[in-house]
Amino acid sequence: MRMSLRRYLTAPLWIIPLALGAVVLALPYLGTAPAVLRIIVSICLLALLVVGLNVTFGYSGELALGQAAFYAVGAYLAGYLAIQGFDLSITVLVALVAAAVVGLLTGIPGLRLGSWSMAMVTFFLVLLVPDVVTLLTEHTGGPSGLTGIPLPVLFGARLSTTGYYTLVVAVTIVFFVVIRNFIVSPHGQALRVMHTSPVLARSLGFSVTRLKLTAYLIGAAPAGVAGALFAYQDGYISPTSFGLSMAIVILAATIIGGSASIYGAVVGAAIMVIGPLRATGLQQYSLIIFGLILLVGALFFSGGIAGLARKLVRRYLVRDEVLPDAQAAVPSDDLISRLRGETLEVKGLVKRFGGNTALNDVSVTFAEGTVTGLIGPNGSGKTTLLNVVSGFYRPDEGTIRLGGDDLTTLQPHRIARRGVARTFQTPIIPQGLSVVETIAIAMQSAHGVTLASSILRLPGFARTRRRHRAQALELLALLDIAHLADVEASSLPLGTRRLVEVARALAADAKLVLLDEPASGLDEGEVAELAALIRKLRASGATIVLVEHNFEMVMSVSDHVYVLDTGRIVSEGDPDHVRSDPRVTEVYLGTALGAREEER
Amino acid sequence: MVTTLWAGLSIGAVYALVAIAYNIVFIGTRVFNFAQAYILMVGTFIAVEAASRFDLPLGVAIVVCAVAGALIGAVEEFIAVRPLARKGSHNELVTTLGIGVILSGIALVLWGSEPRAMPYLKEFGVLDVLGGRVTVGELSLIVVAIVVGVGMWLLSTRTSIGLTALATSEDRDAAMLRGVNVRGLATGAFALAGALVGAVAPLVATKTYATYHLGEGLAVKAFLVLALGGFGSMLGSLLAAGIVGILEMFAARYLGSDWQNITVFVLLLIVLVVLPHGLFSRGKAQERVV
Amino acid sequence: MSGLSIRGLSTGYGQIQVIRDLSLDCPSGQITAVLGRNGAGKTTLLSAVVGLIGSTGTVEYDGQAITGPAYARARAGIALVQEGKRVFRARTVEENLRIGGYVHRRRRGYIAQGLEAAYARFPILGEKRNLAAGLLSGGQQQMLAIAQALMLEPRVLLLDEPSAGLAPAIVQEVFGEVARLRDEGLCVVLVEQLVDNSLAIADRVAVLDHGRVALDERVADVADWSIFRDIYLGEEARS
Repeated sequence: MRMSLRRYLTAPLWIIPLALGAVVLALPYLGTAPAVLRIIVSICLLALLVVGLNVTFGYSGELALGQAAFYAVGAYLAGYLAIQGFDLSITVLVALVAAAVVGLLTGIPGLRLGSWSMAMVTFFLVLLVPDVVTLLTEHTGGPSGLTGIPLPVLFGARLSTTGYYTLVVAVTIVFFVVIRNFIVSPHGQALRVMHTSPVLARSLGFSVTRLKLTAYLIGAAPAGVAGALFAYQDGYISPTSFGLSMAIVILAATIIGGSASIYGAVVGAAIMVIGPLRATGLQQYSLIIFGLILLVGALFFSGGIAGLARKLVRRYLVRDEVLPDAQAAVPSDDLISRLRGETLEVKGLVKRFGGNTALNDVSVTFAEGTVTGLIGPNGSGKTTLLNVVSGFYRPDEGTIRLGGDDLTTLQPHRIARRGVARTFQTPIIPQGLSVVETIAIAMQSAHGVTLASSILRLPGFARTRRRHRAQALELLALLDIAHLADVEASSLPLGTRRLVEVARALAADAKLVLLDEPASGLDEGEVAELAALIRKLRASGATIVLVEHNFEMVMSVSDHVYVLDTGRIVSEGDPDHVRSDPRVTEVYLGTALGAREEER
Repeated sequence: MVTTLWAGLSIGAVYALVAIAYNIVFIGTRVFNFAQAYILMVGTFIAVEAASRFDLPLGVAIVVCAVAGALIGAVEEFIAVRPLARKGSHNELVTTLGIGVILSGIALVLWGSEPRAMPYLKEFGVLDVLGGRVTVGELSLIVVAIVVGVGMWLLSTRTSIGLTALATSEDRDAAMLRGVNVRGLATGAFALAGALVGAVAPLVATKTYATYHLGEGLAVKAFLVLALGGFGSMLGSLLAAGIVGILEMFAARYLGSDWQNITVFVLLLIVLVVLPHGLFSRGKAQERVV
Repeated sequence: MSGLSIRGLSTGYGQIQVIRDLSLDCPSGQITAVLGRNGAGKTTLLSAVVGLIGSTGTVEYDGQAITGPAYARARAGIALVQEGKRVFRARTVEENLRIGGYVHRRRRGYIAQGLEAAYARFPILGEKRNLAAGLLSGGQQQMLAIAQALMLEPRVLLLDEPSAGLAPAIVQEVFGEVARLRDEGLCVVLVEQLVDNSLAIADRVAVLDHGRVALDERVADVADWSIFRDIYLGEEARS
């Protein structure tokens, strides 16, 4: 039996892992041996560490090796507080907060430069664990370890071994639910967008730094809590449990299970816990084996076990299907009113790159509810102008105002939130998202669901998602591609991906839509469709800027045309005026061609 | 006081040498080689073996270590870096870390977990220089680091091959169009960096001893040196390494040895927030983003 | 015929085929202008000829096959000046030229002679030899890019839109240099968007449209110029 992508993505497939979790929870009552339960506890603790790393590394793309350090912070704080007689609820809470604080202290500097600096800062953090433990010997027991941690007391009641087991499994299930909810929510999809293209994320109104920091902190939380739980496992902790080898084990588990997955964390953790336990003869070779896992896994199996499973499911269980709500979608008046644009005014813009002046005193006005064409030969400064307007370049001189608001010095994501949306020369569409999801992400930054509501699935979450879907379907209906609503967007042909990008740009309540060479790579029929679409959008009141090489198309849809050459506006006016302007012919063909034609 | 200064400068020299090797690889390939310090670690063991088991003179040991380092570097490039370039993914951090862990594991299996002392240069004992105590090994490290740093700076800015490497790191395609075998250059950079850390391993071991977990600490400190001195800057690395080494030793002396790493870590966090492009950066040229 | 000869070349990116079965001759001592609208496949053609992207078909110079990766083709004397004034911006003018002579670095005195020749050809580069290339003006960067390619002692010089982003007077200057190189006997392939300036110096003209050769003639023999207006400005423009 095959189902639609939408059904696959929304089907209550979470029931399967949840049911498995329930079975594991019930194991002590089914007469399972204590040794097995102990192994399961170890798997759960490691899985908590691994799933956190998956969020930062697999989904947000930053290699954060600090899980072992958060684990240590949680364990030592919980151990110390438990000895002081505090309740487990307090110790776990303190561990969680402490992990978040250490996460903030390391995340803000580490994420500043990204990739290596993040990896190195967190690697260093792990190396510091023994030093800090020794420094605080009085409270931590120093290198010889902290002993005498009592059995856990939860809300005043002492937990039995079974009680502790149940607690660990239950906490693990809760964290997996929370993180799964985060990842499949628009917040998680925003991470995927950022991983595909930080530029796209910013142009959809997301702050890349904030996304990364959020992911890092969400990854640190389960590690801190796992540490707190670990402190009670043997009533004894020592720095050797949290060293670099632990960090390597966590990373290896992530790679084996598949870094961009949730449940892969359990698989990876299980393999790492059960594997070395069975092969005691291999203990001394463990570093070599872990190193090989990192090397071979990252080289050949970048999706891990979870990636393989996902591919199989997609291939054999999923088919494309048009759902009733997509068939019935029509653009509403509400949609049309939200497309209404504003006027953007650019005055005296100058942009230099070294000794090169890419834009030289450019003043243009993109008037409300019109289509403005921006043409010019290669290297004339069109794309530079686009990048300055959307905030990716800071202009050297001049101002940019949208409907009276000054955008000149704003960050790209701020400009995007103010209503400047754009498409790209080569459409950027993240993999693994349906067309509707691709479009709905654009609505997230301005009118999205909150993090808490996503994680806890509050009623507002479902409501917002329904509204976003309905609005995305209306947009698709306007573009006549509603039948593709639940198809994987990145697999569509180029022309259709362009349309999806246009829909995505419109979805964020855009006041101005910048289309960067939308006709390139399209065949004649597709260009005609695109022109028709642009006219339709103008009829709805949108403000559209068309940066194009396709002269004819620009002329056929624009109300006003600017011609750029070597960074200056050399001609402007309505299409007829520009077409007959000898300066334009000169820019494109030179002066002598006309003469040549006449000679013949 | 002066003794602490010498200690700081000499440990700084070790960081500088690793950082310079990082830079060589970075300039040649735009990759950060996590395993670089681990190659140095393997070199220290080979040096100890050369001295204690085969009784080789120091000069021969240096050559042996350099050859071994170059081989490890070249093999690493071939199996852990090159396949990724072809796939367009950026997993070098994980694969080079994997190589580092494998090297640690091999060292543990072959040479055990006990630190091994280095017999070379023992006969000279400790000197008194400018009112501070310093060993000949330490002094040599400082001199070697400065010579290598300045030498690599000259190589990268004054010779055709160095210029070409700098150009390649700026624009691979354009360099290829001028006849540069970019892949060969990448292997060469890994081999050269490996040879460098290999060659200095006998000297380094006189200060640090040979232990299988030498790589980790050196990796992060040399990274701090890079961050402070600016990625790709040879002279910046030299200066930054001096600062880091001295800070570390003074922290150890006046705050206690447990503060040594913590102080340096705090410096790293501050540098990343306040000076993300390093002490000596003249501000990065604006790059095309879209 | 002496010169560059392309036979049955097909190439593209991923599954998208940009050029299909294209054949073109570019004689030595002549400028072959390759024109066409954006997306016609001009840059892709050049990338395939120099080996930056894979292709099927053959590329020969004087009957000798040009194959292998880009650096090997460069060593065989095929030099491409990429579009967008692509110089090594962080390096100085003189360093850029030295890098251009990388292949001949072991030839005694070669670099010094080459530098001298480059500064004689482009005096402005000599004046700014110690300036970072990124700080040059657009026109100067374009000249540096050409001078850098010449350090290779190429037999074939491929130029990708050398006029892009340059003011008309500067374009004249650059094109004058290109014509001089042709007169020195070089085989020049000029990919351009500026029809007029290109035709003024070209000996042959080829027009690409959708990855195919729509016109391939001696400039003096072209009878119907309307093809340019059609291709650049579209059918409507004529009415």
